[in-house]
Amino acid sequence: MTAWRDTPISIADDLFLVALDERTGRIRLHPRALSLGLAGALLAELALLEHIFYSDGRIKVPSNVARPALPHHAVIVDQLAAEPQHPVSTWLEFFAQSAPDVVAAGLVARGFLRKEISRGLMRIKETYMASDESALAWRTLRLVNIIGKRDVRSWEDGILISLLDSTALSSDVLWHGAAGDLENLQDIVTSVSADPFFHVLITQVSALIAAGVMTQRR
Amino acid sequence: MSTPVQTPSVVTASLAKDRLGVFSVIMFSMTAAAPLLVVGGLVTSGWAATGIVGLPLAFVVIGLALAVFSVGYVAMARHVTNAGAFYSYVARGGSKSLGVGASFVALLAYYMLQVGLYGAFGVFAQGYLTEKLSWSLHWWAYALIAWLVVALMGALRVDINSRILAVLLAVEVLVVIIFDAVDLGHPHGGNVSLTTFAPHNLFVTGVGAAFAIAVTAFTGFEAAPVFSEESRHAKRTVPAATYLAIVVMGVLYAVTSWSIAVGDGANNVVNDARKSQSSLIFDVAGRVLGANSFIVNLGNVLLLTSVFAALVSFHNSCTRYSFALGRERVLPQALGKTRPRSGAPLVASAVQSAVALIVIILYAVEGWDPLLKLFFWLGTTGGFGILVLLVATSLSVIKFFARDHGGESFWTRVIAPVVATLVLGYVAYETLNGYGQLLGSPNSKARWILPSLYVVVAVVGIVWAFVLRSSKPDVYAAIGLGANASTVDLPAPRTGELAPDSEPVGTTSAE
Repeated sequence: MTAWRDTPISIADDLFLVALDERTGRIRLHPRALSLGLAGALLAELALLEHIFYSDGRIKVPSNVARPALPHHAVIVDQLAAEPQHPVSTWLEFFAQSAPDVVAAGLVARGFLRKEISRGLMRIKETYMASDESALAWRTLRLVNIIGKRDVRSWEDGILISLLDSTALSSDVLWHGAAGDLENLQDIVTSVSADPFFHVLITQVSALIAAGVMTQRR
Repeated sequence: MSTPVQTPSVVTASLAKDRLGVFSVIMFSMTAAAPLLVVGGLVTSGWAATGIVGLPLAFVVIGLALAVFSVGYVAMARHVTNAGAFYSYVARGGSKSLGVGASFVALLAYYMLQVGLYGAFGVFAQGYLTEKLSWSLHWWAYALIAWLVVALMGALRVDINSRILAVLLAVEVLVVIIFDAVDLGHPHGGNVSLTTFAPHNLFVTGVGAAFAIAVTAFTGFEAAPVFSEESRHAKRTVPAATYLAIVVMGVLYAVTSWSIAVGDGANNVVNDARKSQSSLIFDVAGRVLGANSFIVNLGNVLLLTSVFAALVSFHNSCTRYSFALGRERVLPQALGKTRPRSGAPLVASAVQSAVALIVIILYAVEGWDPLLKLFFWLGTTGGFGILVLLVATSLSVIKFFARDHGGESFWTRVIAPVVATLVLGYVAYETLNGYGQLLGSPNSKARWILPSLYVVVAVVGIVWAFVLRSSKPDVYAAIGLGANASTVDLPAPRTGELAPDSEPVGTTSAE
């Protein structure tokens, strides 16, 4: 059994794990919200690693920085460098197309999850079962604890919590939380938004999800 | 020297695959079209209530006016990308305060349109199923069944598959065309008369009533710009879908209402509409095809599916408006939230369903006429609200492009919207003048209560906007942005610094 309860996990990986229902293996977020949230998480990771930066309303790739170590990060950076003209919202929609598959595959490859496929009458159903159910549940409880105590100790956690809010997953996560948790959540989001790039990421994820609701996109 | 070759964008091409084509956008516009509902329900109720024979000409006049209005409307859609449409255009072209007023008017109008349809569904279902299956349920029982299904669909974010809608609409149009051909092929008195297109049969006292009915019939044509950002080639798709919707609706409604009058006799339609109401279209065609023929029965079934599709479509419109206003925090924020698993704007949907339920129960308990006082009164009053919005939007288009021409032509930014404002403004004036006749009750208090509701909500909206401007400037700044309301800068944290002590990253270059 992979011991990953306290293993440092990237923002995108953590978001995927928190979005997973540990009992059923189903994602408790609708597909568009998950995709956009993961896309935002991947871009935030790259920004924290200083492989990209935000300037004049566009994402830019510095020329004198080493190539990202992770293959999927390298692919993203290559794509950002090839077409720097697109706004953040376009990149979010573009990376959202592949983000769930990329992140899920990575978690399966590292033994955090195993993928199960069941065939129904009309369609094939994919579920992801954790190799350690209690560790999976702990990822969510950890965040509830951080929000409850207003004890954000890293940009990664702050951004993750902000993306929970953008994707509306916070209502599930904070289901068992205390009365003041929502206010703490908003304060965390506001603090993270002090950084212009993360402000754009968080708000654009939210805006794109809302736009999908208004145009009835799946 | 060779011209540099532009490499096609991989990102753009990839995203384009997910975008909506012209056909899909047109279908979204046409879902509220409902030809059988308009000619089978609205027009016949209109003849019965107003006594104005010239409704076919009203469709032509309003269709032309809407086509001219759409010139400025679709032009503005190229510059204002917000799925909220009408009210966001008023906010951007006029002012945010007027935008809030317009949003409240829009909300009331779409609510009335949607809730009024339960009267139509209940009466049509009762009439048909009593005759065919000897069921003896009241109209409100059928209305409540439809309500339950619509409420569940809204809560679970279940949409009617667009292909199913397209097939139903296509069959509906085919049936209507067959009825038209039959009616025109067997005219009353042996002559195909153009009497109902004669101006003297439209421009009578209370002409506004006919115009209000026509505007109500066209409601839904305005949907295309909502899908602007989701469209593959928005600059082509949105105008194409808008104009096509107007042309298809206009031709269908004008020709079919005219055909009914030809088949029944222009001098008979008003009295026959008062006697048989919703079944008039089937009675006239049934004299030739047979009252129990397959095509007439199919028409009756399609009438019900048509009303149901319109119920779902307007429920979505109401929910979308409430959701947008909730996201902007103009209305309670809970309206702008979605359920994580389904993405459904559950609160906005539930509120709409609750209001509809209360109205259905009220009409059932009070014993008010569901076809006249629920469907026709609320439906045409909803249409009047849309008319008010059209005038406001047209004025906003003029002001918007006066600030910045945006590369649009003089015809687009001045002539067309000015003409549209004058024509639609005249239509709105005549409608108010003839409101008693529109309701079929010239002395009823409803003739001033119903249109006054819009004045009340508009004033409430404007005043509320002023309150927001002084008490919540961040909320005021987001008015008109709809889904993008979250992108407005947030205020500073309440207490202390919650982010870690490390320097903010992601903004400075590593170079």
